[in-house]
Amino acid sequence: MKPYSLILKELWQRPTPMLTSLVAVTLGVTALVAIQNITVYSEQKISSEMDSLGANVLVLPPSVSLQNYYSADMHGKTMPEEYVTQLALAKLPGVQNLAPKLCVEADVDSIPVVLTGILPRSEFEAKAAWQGMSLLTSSVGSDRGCCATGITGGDEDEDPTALATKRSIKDLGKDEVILGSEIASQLGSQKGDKITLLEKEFKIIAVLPATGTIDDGRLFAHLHTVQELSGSGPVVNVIEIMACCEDAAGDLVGDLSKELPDTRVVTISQVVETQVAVNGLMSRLSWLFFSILLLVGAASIASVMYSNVSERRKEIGTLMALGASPAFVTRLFLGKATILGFAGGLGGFLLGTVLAYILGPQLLGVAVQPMPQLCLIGIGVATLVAVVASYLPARHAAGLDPCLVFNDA
Amino acid sequence: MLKCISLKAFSFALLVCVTLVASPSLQAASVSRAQQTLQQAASQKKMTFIMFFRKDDASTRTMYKTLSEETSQLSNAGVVTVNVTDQAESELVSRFDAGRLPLPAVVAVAPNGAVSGVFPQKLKPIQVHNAIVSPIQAECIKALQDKKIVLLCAQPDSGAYVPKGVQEFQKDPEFSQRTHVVNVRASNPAEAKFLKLFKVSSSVSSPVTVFMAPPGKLLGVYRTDVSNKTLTETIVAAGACCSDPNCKHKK
Repeated sequence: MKPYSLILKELWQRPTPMLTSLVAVTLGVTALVAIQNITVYSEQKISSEMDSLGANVLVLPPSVSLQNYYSADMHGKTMPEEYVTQLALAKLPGVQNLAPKLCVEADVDSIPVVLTGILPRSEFEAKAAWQGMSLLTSSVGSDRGCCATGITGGDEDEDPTALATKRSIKDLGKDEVILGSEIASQLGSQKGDKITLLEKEFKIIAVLPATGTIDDGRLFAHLHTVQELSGSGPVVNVIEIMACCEDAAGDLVGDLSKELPDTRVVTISQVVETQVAVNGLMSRLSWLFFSILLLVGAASIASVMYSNVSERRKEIGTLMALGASPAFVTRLFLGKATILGFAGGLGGFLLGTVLAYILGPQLLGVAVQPMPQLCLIGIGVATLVAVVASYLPARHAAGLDPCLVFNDA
Repeated sequence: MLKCISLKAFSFALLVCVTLVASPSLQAASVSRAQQTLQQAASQKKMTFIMFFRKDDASTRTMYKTLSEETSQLSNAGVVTVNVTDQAESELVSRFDAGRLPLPAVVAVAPNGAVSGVFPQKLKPIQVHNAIVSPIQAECIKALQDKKIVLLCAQPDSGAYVPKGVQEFQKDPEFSQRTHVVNVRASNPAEAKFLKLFKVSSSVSSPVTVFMAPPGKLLGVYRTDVSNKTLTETIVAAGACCSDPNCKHKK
C-alpha cells in the first residue's frame, strides 16, 4: 500500500481529532486573509478618493470656518491673489498644483447663478518658467520634493471636463465659461452656446459631468475676468492645493502656515491619517490573530499527532514488522500534516475571501476582490506550521521498536 | 554708516517722487520710462532689475537699498523702479503680472528679454548676483520661457559639430517648430559658470549635449554623440511629445 492511500484512509477513519486542528489552522488563515484583504482595498479606496478629490489642502482667510469642503469658497471673505503667486514661487515640496477660486453671484436670464473664477494651470507654468535656471540646477531626473517636476509645452490639449475630477484646468480663455451639469440643464445650455454674465458675453466650452457636489450648480470662468467684472480686485476666496504625496498630511501644512501666516490652512489629511492608522492597526492585528491561531493549531496538531501515535502503536509496529522503514513512517505522519496544513490554508483563504467580500462593502463601503498572493502565504505558512508541529510525533513513531510494541500488547 | 543709509533712503524717496511726478508727462509717450530703461539696457547688453512696489514703506526701502548696493558693484546691470499703480507703466505691470505679485518684488530681465529671476518681498544680495546670466544662458532661458525644447551643444575648440542625433531631432516635424539648438564653445570663460551647472568641462574633446525642456527641467546631459532615438524617447517619457494624441512616438 502506498503512503498516500494510508494517509487518506487514516484521515477518513478518524476525522474528528484532526478536524479541531484543521479548524484552528483554517481560522488563523481566515483572519489573516479577511483583514488583509479589506485593509488593502480600503487603502486603495482612500488613495482613489484622494485622487478624485484632488485638492487636499485649503488655504482660507483666517476668520473662515469650513463647513463643507466643496463649498470652501462660498463664505464671502477674501484674501489677496498675491498669496497664490507667493505659493507658486515658493516651490514648496509636495505641492503639485494650485487652484485659487473666487465666487460671485450673477444671473443669467434672471436666473441667479454662482459664478466661480478659476485660474488655469498655464498661468502658473508661465511663472514657473521665470525661475527656469533655478529649476535646472537640480540633477538629471531629480524631483522637487515628492512631485515629479513636470514639463510643459507638449501635452495634448486637456478636455475641459477634467475640471470635474482634477479640480483644475490647463487653459481657459478670458471669455470662456464651463457649466456644471445641473446649471446647464437648468439654463438649457450646451457646449458651443453663448451666455451673458455680468454684462459680458461668454462662450460655453464644456458642460461638466455630474459630480453630486455643489459644483454641479456652478459656472466657471477665468479668475481675472471674474475679478474684473465683479469689481472685486485681485482677491480670491480660497486656494485649493493639490498635494502629490503624504507631505499633505505632514510638513506641507506647517510650510504653508509659515509661508502665509495670515491665512488658515485646512487639510483633509487628518481624516486620511486616521483611516491609514486604523488600516495599519487592522493589518498588524491580522498578523497577530494569524500567529496566535496558528500557534493554537500547531499545539493542537502536535497533541493530536502524539495521541495518534499512541493509538496506532500496534499498526505502526505491524507496518515496521512487515518491512516499513522509519523514514516511511515519518513520511506517513508528515504527509498527513502536509495535507492538513494545505487544506487549512486553502480553506482559510476561501473562507477569508468570502468573509472580506461580504463584510468589506458593509463595514467600510469597500468593494473587495480576491488576492491570490494571500492564498500562497496562507497555504505556505499553514503547511509549514503543521509539518513542524508534527515532526516530533513523527520521529517518535519512526523510533518505535516492533518487538516492544507487540510485547506491550 | 547711518549717513550712508539715510542717503540711500533719501535717494530712493527722491526717485519715487520723480517717478510719480514724471508719470503724467510720460503717459503721453508711447514708451514708458521703465520700458525705455529696458530697451536701453538691452542695446547695451546689460541686465535690468525692475523693482515693482506699491507703497513707499520700510520693506520697499530695504529692498531698494539691497538692490542698489549690489548693482552698484556691477558694470552690467541697472535698476528701474515701477509703482504698480502708475498708469504709464501699466503695460510693463501687465507683462510681468506685477499687480498680483507679493510686493515689493524684483524681476531680473536679461538683455534678450528673458526673466532670470523673480524675488518677492525679500531680496538677498546673493540673489542679485545669481540673477546675472551670461548671453548663452539668457538665450536658453528665453527659449524655455517661449516653451521651446533646448538642446545646448558645448563644443570643443577644434572639431566642433552638431551631433547627428540633435540634427535629426531638430528636423523631426513633431519637434522642429519648438526646438531651439544653441551652440557654445566650452572654453568660453563667459559661459563657464553656466556650463558648470551641467558639469561640462572647458576642455571637452567632443560636443556635449545638454537637453532641457520647459519650464526648466534638465532632461539629460550626453557626453558622447546622442542619438535621435534617445532624445525622442527621453522627451516622450517626460510627457512632452507633441500635441497630437496619435503622435507616432507615443506608439
